[in-house]
Amino acid sequence: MAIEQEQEHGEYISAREEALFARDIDGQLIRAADATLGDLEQDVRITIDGQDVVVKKAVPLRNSQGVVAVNERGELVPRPTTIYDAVTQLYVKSIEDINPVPVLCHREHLRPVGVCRVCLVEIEERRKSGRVKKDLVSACTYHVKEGMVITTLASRENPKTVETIRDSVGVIVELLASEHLSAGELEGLVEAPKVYEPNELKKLVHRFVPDPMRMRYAPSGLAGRRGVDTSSEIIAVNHDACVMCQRCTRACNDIKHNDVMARSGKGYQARIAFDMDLPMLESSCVSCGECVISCPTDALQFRPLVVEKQIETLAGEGVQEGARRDGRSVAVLSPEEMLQIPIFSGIPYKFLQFNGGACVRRVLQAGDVLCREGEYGATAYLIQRGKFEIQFRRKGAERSHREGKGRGFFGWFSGGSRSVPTLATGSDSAPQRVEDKVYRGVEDVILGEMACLNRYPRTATVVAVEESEVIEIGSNVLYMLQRNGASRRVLNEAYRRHALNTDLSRIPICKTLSPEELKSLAKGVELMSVEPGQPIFREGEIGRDLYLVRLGYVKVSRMQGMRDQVVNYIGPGSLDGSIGVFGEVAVLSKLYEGELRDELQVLNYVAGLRTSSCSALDHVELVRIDGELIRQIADSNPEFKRVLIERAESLLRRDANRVPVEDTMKASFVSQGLYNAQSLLVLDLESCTRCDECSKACADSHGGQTRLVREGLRFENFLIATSCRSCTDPYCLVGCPVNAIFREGDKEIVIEDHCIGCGQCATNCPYGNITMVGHQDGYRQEGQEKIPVIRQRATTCDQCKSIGGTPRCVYSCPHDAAFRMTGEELIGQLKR
Amino acid sequence: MSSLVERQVGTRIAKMLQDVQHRQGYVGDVDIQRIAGQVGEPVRVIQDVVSFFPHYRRTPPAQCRVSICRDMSCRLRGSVAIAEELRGLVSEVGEDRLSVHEASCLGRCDRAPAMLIEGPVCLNKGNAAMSHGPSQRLVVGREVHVYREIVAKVLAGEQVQTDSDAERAEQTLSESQIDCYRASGSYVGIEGKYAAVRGFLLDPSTERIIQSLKTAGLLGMGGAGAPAYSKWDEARLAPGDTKYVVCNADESEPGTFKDREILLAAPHLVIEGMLIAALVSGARQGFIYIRHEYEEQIERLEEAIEEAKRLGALGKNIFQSGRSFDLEVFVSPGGYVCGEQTALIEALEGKRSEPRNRPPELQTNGLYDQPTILNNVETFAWVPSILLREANEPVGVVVGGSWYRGAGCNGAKGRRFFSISGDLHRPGAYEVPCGITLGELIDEYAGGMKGGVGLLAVALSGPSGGFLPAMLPERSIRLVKKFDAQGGETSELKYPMLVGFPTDIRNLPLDIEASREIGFMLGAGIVVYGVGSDMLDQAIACSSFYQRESCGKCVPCRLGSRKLVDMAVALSEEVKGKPSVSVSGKHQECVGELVENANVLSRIMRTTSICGLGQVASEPFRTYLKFFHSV
Repeated sequence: MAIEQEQEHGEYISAREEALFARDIDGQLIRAADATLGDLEQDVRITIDGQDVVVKKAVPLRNSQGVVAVNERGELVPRPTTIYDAVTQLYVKSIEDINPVPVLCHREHLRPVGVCRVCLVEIEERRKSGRVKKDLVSACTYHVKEGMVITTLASRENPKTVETIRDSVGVIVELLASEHLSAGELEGLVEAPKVYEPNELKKLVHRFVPDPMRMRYAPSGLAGRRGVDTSSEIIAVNHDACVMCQRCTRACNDIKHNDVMARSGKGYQARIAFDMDLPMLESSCVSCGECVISCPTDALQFRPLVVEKQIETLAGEGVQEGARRDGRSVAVLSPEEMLQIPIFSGIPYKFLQFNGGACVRRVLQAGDVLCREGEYGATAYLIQRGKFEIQFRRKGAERSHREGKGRGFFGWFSGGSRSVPTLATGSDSAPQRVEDKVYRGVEDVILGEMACLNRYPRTATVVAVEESEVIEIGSNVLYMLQRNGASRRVLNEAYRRHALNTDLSRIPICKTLSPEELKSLAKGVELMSVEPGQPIFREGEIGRDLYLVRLGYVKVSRMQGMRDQVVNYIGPGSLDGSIGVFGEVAVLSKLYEGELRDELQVLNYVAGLRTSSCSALDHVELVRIDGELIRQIADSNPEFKRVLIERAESLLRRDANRVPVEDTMKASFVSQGLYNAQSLLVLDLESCTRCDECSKACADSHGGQTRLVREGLRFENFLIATSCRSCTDPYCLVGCPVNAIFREGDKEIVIEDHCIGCGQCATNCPYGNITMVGHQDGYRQEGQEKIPVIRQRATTCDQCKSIGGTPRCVYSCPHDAAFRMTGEELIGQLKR
Repeated sequence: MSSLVERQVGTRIAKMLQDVQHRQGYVGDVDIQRIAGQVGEPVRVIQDVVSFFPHYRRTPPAQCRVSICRDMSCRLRGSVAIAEELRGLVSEVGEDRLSVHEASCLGRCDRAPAMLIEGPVCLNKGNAAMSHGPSQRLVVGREVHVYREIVAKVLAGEQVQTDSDAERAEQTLSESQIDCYRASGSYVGIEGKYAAVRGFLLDPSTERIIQSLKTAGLLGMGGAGAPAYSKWDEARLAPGDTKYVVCNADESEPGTFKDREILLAAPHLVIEGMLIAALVSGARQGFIYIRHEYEEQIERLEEAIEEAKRLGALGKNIFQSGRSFDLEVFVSPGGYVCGEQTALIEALEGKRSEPRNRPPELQTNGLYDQPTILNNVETFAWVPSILLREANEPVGVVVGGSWYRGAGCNGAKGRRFFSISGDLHRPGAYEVPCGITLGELIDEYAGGMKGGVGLLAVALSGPSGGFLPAMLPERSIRLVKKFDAQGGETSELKYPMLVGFPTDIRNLPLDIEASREIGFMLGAGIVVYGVGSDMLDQAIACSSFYQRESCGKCVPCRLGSRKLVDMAVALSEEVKGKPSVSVSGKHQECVGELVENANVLSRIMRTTSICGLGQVASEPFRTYLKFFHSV
């Protein structure tokens, strides 16, 4: 009985027909394949609400922290551009802009599934025959295709379609509301909305449903409600409030890789489930909380006690370094307060609950120090008002403990190469006075994010020059800001400015550029991150981009016969010295192939090819600069061009002479991560009698639970025991959902009592130095019985210094066989 | 995107689950953990799938399990009362001995009411190789009061007379022309079959086959009615080395049972059709996806596949041609939604049977993301006849199709099967020339209305097209004009029988293209209701059918289908004088509002659901309100 339908809907196709844009211009069905790198550059012309828009056929995939991902070959991973991407690109320019396409089941960091259907848009395809076909489709899953005409709710010229979309979304939201909100909640919705409404379904009701009570019909007596699960002490599950958006299951499985959550059952009865549909407590769930913060409704919530306890413990611990240090002008912000600050508006309310007290407001007077160079800091500062001076270290100034050892491990590599960049572990190039003072204000948005994200010491001292206010946030809050598209854009913009002000001008070849030229260069930079071990590019490939190292270490290697030989390590450099740059040779030699002809011939080198392979040694953040952009600038700046050619010549000559680092000891030093270690527990097996006093002493001083195991790697007569090494880049700090693990003082890794036992840090530690331990935490009543509640907690060596600054394990050794030393020191012992 | 091998793990999971279910009657926690370990996937992946299909039980079942159909024809013939009686029996004998399941259509609407009995048998026979032994017993077409007796006897271990589909199928096919190998009146032996395959191998011109199908005008018989040749050609041209041919034998639309007959009496036609599709497209592997309630058909298909292999028509090196095609039967773990083509592919991949967002289409991204030809049983079964039969030519290597093209009537092309049931003398599956009228089908094939009762309503596509009244009111039909050779409009109408109001529904031409033109949905299963039928009861039942069978993936269908049942029940109570819509509202007002809301909901479900199921789920109630509800 399609007649009336057709009359009402014009030419909407039915599901039995072929989908729109299934064919190419020749009428051939298009086989959907993975997006290619070429698609990132290919233009697709579409029309959105009457405006002609050009988007790329694919966009780079981003990880859950909003950072572009690369594959095992070091290439960007393209994914097809969706209608939602295109609409966002057109309409959402600043954090205040509202996306005309509402979403419920979709989030930028999740694989789209297109199940809630609230992101409906109308698309139109003009067939070769001249017939126009229309369809209502989900913007989050539909890929853009050449010639696609899209109408969204923001259309001004197509009020009838807007009405159709609004009605359709309205009825869908109405259905969801009538099933998943209680009668009381529905009635409450008739009133004015709250200032901040954490329930996304309620927000949609406000936006789209004039009468939320319309579709409430008496239940038909069919099997109904799906029930609640309160077995977990941390998370409460209300299945009836669940809209089956699959955000939690994707968060659990795709983001956290915990692989616990499934959907159970079919149709109306379907609900989320844990493992084999077990009560949450009995399942393998680790309560990491990712599902809760992903949930748009009240279906998954932190239990009130947990929220209270989080705030209490955090307040008690005074976890914010500012609060701990100077104890003045600090105010913990409530989730409600935070969500009123625009940059936080995209952050899930429940995340802020779970991290109660994780953000504090600090007010500083002129002259107050915000943070000091050399300190470890796990926080970043969002500038609310005022002005700060960034004071870099001066020549001869005091250095932190990690520096001043110019002959560290990395010093060894300087042998054959003059260009070993300045590394965080030390620099032999004396820091230079920065002539101009550097100030930061509100327009810079954020301060201290480098130390916060990479867990290195602060690289500068920051002093307020007038009354100023900042919000101090933990690293997990910063991660969350990066995940959210809108706040990420704000941060990236700020970073681009930082890059303009500092990083780019510190590239040797860029020293001659004018501020305007630097600005246009900064426009073309792309931030990317590379996981440990992943290649960035390979020797012999064609290279078009060059890279700056923001964080982490990059390994440079070349093939020598059949062997891959390390030739260099590149780190982020220091703020006042030159910055770590790599990938220049291929780019510059190709750009000036003509000018460099003689040089190239002599060296028998094909311009444009990578002369070495680069891969990430640890977590690396890079700035990628398009070589083409450099050429464009050089075309109008002959001085710059001259510098580039000179640079290319010197690099080519250097590469020809470069001596590979050949030392198996060094190789294992790298592969075992010892370069990263600041405090290895080393046992000299020649003196050690295996009396185990060290373990006993550790247990005695840590509540009966030893935190070291007398087993591990051996180097000659030395054993590296399983105990925290205090890495310069502690992987364990990454991804704690409640920020319970951080570095205190200069070495100690501390795990606070508000640890929820998810095991993320234990999984992260590549050396097995964090152990999950069960401990009793009160009782729970089950009928008449009182059952002790066992909670998991992560424990690790805290580098205790109880006796004369010496850790217990070392102090207690009766044979003087136990030592704490850095990786470099250990190697020094071996060399002896 | 994951690799082909990774994708095939799902099919392995599905087969392991079926094996466990078949051997021990349920899938326990231990089994899930074991399977998860064997395939190296987390437990949640298995739970996702197991919980989706009602066929997989998670706890040990009762000794004897009875399914009684509650849809359309069976409901009309009293299956609700039977279920009630059987539930009484359960309370007598205990839940561990007997369980009664009110099932969706079992595909025996011609002999309603239909019942399937499983057990009481020792499930663990320890013979896993015989994957589908006769564990089901079919009881159909009996008097209402004997069903309880039969089950009681089965429980007592007594012998009972059960039913088979075989005789019917033989009868149906003997009256049909689809089987070119029996057309002369007697069977051609197995050696004589696969002539179309041999013909193709002698002259391997894919163009000839495609052209033949195009000439014939063969349409997909699964419902959508897309031209078969274009699907085949698209899969053929799609880039990719690995391609598949899949037969949709998951005939689950209430009122539809014609594939059942073809599968049982002419399985080689289906295999041959698939084989040709494989040779044309370059596919080397195929699956017949069949519903688990078709046990006889499953056995017959497996037997026929073995026969074809022995003959050299299947497997490696088909008739010494160097070409290969492996074919296997995949038994569906159950659910109407599996008949939706992308959902079927998902189920075959061992996932929850949820329809995909399109594009891409299956011809390019089908099974394991590879190009796939997916057709209905009957579509494949027509291929040999189309290629081999010629009106005036001897059987041989020519472009075929003209015989089939000319086999219709009233301007329609070809022949096809209709399953017709309900208040009729001779319900059954009939092969008819396309274009005959509904009246002709009812009177000349199905023997007229049962007991001479008047026609009240017709469902033209199971529940999917809703219910139409005997006399259609004005503006129900889109009248199609005729055009002359120059393309000018003539004063004639294409279907002159449909002029005049109200229009007698018996005059509807049964042809997919015609029905599309005049704005009707025509499926393969027609249900006829006589005067006195309770159409509101039927509307509630059909709405409940969609509510039960909705996969739950997209919101409009998951919740809309449920809301419709709520509305229909509320209306029914209102009609019966037990208002529950609103305590205070006036009757008229409430009902008026309800009708309006139902129409709004119906419209939104149609335009926003992902698949065809959600799009038509509101039709039974909407058409009830439009044609049968009087305030």
